[in-house]
Amino acid sequence: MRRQTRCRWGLCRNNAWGRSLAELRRGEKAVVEIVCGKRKALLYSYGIVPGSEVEVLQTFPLYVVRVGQTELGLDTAVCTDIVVSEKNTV
Amino acid sequence: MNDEKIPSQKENHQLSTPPVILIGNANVGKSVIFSLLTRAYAAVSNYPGTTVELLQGVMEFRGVKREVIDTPGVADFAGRSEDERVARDVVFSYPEATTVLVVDVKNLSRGLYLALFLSALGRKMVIVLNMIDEAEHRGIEIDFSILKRLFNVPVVPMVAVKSVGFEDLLDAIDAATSSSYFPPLSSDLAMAVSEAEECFPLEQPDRKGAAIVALCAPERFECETFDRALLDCVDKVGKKFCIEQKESFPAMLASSWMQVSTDIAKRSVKQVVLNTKPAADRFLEAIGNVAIQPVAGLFIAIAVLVVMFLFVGMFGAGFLVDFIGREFFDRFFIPVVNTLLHDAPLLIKEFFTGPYGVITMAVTYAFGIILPITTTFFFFFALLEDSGYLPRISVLADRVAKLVGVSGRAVIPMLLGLGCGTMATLSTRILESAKERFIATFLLALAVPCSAQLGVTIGILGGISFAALAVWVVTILFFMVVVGTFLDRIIRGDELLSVIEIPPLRRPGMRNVFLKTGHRVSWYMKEVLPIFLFGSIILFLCDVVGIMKTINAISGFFAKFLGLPFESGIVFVTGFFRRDYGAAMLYDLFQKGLLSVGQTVIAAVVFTLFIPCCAQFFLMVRERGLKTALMIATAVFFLAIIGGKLIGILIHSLSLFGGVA
Repeated sequence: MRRQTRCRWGLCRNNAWGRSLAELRRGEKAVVEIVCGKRKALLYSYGIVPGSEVEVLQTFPLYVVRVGQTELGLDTAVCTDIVVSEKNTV
Repeated sequence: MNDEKIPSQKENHQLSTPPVILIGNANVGKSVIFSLLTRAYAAVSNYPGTTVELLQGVMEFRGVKREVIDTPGVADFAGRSEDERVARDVVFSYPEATTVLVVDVKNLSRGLYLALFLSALGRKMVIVLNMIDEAEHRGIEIDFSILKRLFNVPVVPMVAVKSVGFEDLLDAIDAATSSSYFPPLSSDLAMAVSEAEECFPLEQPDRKGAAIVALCAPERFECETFDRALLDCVDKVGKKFCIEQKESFPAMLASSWMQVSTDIAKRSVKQVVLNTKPAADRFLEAIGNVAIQPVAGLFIAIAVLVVMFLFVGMFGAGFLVDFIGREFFDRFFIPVVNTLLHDAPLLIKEFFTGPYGVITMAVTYAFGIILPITTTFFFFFALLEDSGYLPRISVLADRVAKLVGVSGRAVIPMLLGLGCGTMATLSTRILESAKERFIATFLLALAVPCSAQLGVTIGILGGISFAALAVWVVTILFFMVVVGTFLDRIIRGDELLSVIEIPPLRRPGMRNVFLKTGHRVSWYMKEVLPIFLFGSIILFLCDVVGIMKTINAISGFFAKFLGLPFESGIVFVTGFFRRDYGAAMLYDLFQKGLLSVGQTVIAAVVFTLFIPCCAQFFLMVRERGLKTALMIATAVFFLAIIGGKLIGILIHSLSLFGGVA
């Protein structure tokens, strides 16, 4: 499945495989694949890095995701800049 | 506030040892450690030229006194908003200082990410692994020796809230060294860094580290730290990098160093999953989670606001104002002044105790009314801040706020505006873009009533009927949304991208709350009250010279235009100099039966929308420049007139409240 993310800067444009965080439902967990957009460096420093596991706690009024022990409120525009893949279930 | 010198630098001359700087992510317990270190003395001050409050204190260890500075929590050193910038600038302005990096063990990689920057900068460092007990509860075990060996600095496990590990921290601060570790850079990054290094003078301590941090956001560095030419030079390197690598330097660095810190964290953690938390934590956590849900969260937000108004309204504006007015001013102060002025010439008497007198108007106002109200408001606001609740309101309001062109973050200045619009205008600096700051300043000037006005207005309208109050609220909100949406459309700016960290709720630290309240109240006394004093002198002079009649005529003309009695015009002029006095005059007019119900509603709407007090206007001039401030004031003036006229037409045509006349 190939989807267009809204990424403007750098690598992401060509590698937009998978789903964006904005497509996840409440309670879903996923693994971050690629982060792009203007908030990239900030998201990294909060621990949203490729390989990290995120859990969507709620989706309205903002997306609330937990990564590690950090909870972040993200708007839809930021979420579409985060490409995720299914969490491997053992 | 801009010309305020940072107190630490003055004190530093007395305390010859370099300061201790606490730094770390948000909510890792920096303030608790600060309190432990500085039991004897602490104060809040603003970092020069900012609204960011820094806690400063003095610690004593083995007879040596050292200054301690607590910085705002940061995720990195990019300095996106004012508080993040201050944290970074404090680290930069004291190269000799010992930095105490406080890390939440549960978030090891995020904390160590900052350690990489501090190592690169060559700062003397102590790593505090805080909340080690919570980590143990969750089955996280840390191998400290790995961190110690890698960074080659003291590593102190602590449970700061129980002062566990405090003695070790004192020893560690004493023995702190610069880290010998330099985090790895890929060849692309290293090349850019060495190019940027060339921009720095040779005497710059740790040029390489400085170059890295400067490359992360050259445009956001205060010019006092580095001069313009240097930053332009760094900026050029950054832009070149971005074009060549198709990736910005900060983003590539973040991705590489976050990987490094995650690796270090993984190596030093032996994790066993075991999830038990103390019951108290779980209770606060549950409330914290509910507070961001759309429906329940809204109810909690409303409840918090209601409690705030009850507290400020009943306790501050009711009890305290009455008590101080009765016990101090009526019984003691006014009689003493009257006796002293008994034989004075009439003009002098007028100057002090006349209807526009400095004492009757300004002093009683300042200390009898404004001081108790603002103090209670600032106290409540500091409680909200320290508990970690405010970001939750930002999350809830983000969507709505974006409709009017600001991010959820802007809700915080708006809330503050319900206390004091002047301080709120100053605090719009926490917003990231110029567009947001402008819109927030505009809306604060237009539609956010401050505490001096809010109480009286709610009192009058609520006393009439619920419908009157509702019409007022809806009209104000309507104007806020319409004007905000309009401004959002016509002003160009970057897309708003919200990333809001939601800290866990916690019990507020009362020491911090009191320190902050005290600091803000004293700011208020120094910055705002003199302007009111000045305002009442102007009113007095106008009265003496006889311009008051002209002003009366002009304002009366506008009042007539709005379908209000001629006498009510002066209310708005007075309101500019003294917000609540205008409101009180309005109340008077209503009591005397000079205003019908419909007219009262119109007057309340116009009064709320009207240009705020002179203090807020002066601050707008200072923060946004004279041109912008005048533009906002003019726009607000006409919007208020239009608002009053429209609501008048509406009331008239629907014959609400028995029509206007």
